[in-house]
Amino acid sequence: MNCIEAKALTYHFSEGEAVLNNIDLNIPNGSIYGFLGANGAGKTTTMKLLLGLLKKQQGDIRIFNQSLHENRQNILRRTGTFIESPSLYGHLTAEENLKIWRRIYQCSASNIKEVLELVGLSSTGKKKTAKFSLGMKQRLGIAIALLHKPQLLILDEPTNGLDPTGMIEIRDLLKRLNKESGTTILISSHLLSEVEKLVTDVGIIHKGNLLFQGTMQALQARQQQATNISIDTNDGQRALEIVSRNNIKASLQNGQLILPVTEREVMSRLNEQFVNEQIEVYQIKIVNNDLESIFIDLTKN
Amino acid sequence: MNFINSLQSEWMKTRRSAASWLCIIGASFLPVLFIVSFLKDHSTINDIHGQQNVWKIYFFQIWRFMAMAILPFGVILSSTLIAQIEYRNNTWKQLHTTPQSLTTIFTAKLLAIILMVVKFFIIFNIGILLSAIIPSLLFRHGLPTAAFPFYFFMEINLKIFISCLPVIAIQFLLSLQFKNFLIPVGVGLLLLVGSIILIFGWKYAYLSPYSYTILLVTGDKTKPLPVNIYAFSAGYFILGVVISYYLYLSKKDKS
Repeated sequence: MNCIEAKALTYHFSEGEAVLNNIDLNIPNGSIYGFLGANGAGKTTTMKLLLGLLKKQQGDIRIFNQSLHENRQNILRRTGTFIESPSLYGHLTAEENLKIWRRIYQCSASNIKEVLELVGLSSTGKKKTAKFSLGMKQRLGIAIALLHKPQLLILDEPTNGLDPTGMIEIRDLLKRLNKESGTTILISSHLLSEVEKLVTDVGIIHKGNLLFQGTMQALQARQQQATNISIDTNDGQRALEIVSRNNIKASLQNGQLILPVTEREVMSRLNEQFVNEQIEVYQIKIVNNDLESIFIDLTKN
Repeated sequence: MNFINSLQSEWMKTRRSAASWLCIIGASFLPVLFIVSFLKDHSTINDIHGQQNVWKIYFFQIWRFMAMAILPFGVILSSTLIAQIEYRNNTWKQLHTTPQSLTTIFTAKLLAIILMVVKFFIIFNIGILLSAIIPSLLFRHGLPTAAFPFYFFMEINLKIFISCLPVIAIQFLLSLQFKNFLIPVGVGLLLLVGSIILIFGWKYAYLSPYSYTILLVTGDKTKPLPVNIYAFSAGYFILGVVISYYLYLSKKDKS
């Protein structure tokens, strides 16, 4: 069962190129979905469409199995949001800011103290939020999103500006919320390394196209598949011919022969053939593609 | 109930805001000035309460200064400042993802501005009374002992309040449309100054929605205006609000 289902989302700004091109999003209930892409890839536009901040042009959005168009208020009552940057009234304190949102969500007054403690801002007292550091503002923005204990959190780059400790704290907090309350979390980032330890599902978007969507395990399996063997010889072209004769798909990259990981016996046989044909082999090594390079490869292609 | 909560949340945003300070300072400026002036030369009170209708003359005198000099500027600035709170703090996106209809958000925000103007009137009226009572008590003048014209007091307030409504509506409209604070303020001040010039040089000055507050206190009673400026004020207000509402709803990007 999906918490968010978006079908064929397409969005254009005026007459220009499509910012989003036929995006299908499936975010499972209770998952932490990492929405990844470089700056300008279309992450924020997608999130704004999911929240009705941008007028939908094409496609269909269903959240909690309800049409966003028909049940927007009901959906938003159960959704916490953090889009692009924290939304704070600078002339008010952290508590006063939360009181404003509490009035709208009509939730318990004790929630204010609870979320301030959760994000580590309970001792800010009378300090106006305009005087907060970027990290503190970011935390308060997250506290606002959590205030009414939503079932769904939509967070657009919430750890921007946080120091490594702050990032870990927020990551732990989100994990805990997901585990203890079953909160579904959609979190965007331009860095896979930032969310790979947090998310259960991943969507990779590039130039308005969704290049990958699936579980983190599926992405990791892709990483395994992308692990190669690199062979450095004095004659790459002849070495490639030998490999091809063995029915192994290979390519030459910067003079190095690149082929998929094969069995040890096959490698040994290939090496023997190189030596027999007087090709000098300088190095045979495994090239391990980490998740970040898979991400970059996907977006490059 | 939802609307009351939305209105309360809008009102809470004005706490310690520039609009709120402007309201308090603007409304108490003239009364404080009058108190200081009476205390400095308390015989000036005698000039007033030697006459008949002493309260009426006093009210009208102080209101005339207010309606000509401070009120229009105050209404322009406070309407703009309140409407612009979301742009200034980058909070539209958060507000528009709360479970409220756009109509509720729009109406609560407009009502918060109107309430701020009402607050301005209340502070100013209390100031008027204190500025008369304090020096009179100190120097035993007769001003507060004269019969208090409650009906006149309410009437002058209501009339001036109605004359402010077009300015509120137009400033609200401009402030929702332009992110840059200087545009609505600049346009508002330009229209106000233009209206002041028109009032003293053009017989159709009443067509300008920014002219009514000043027309009310500068008009020649022997030559009444050919139109009902209260009806014009209400008309401009409704027109301004309807256009503003339509433009607000049709915005493609609500972040």
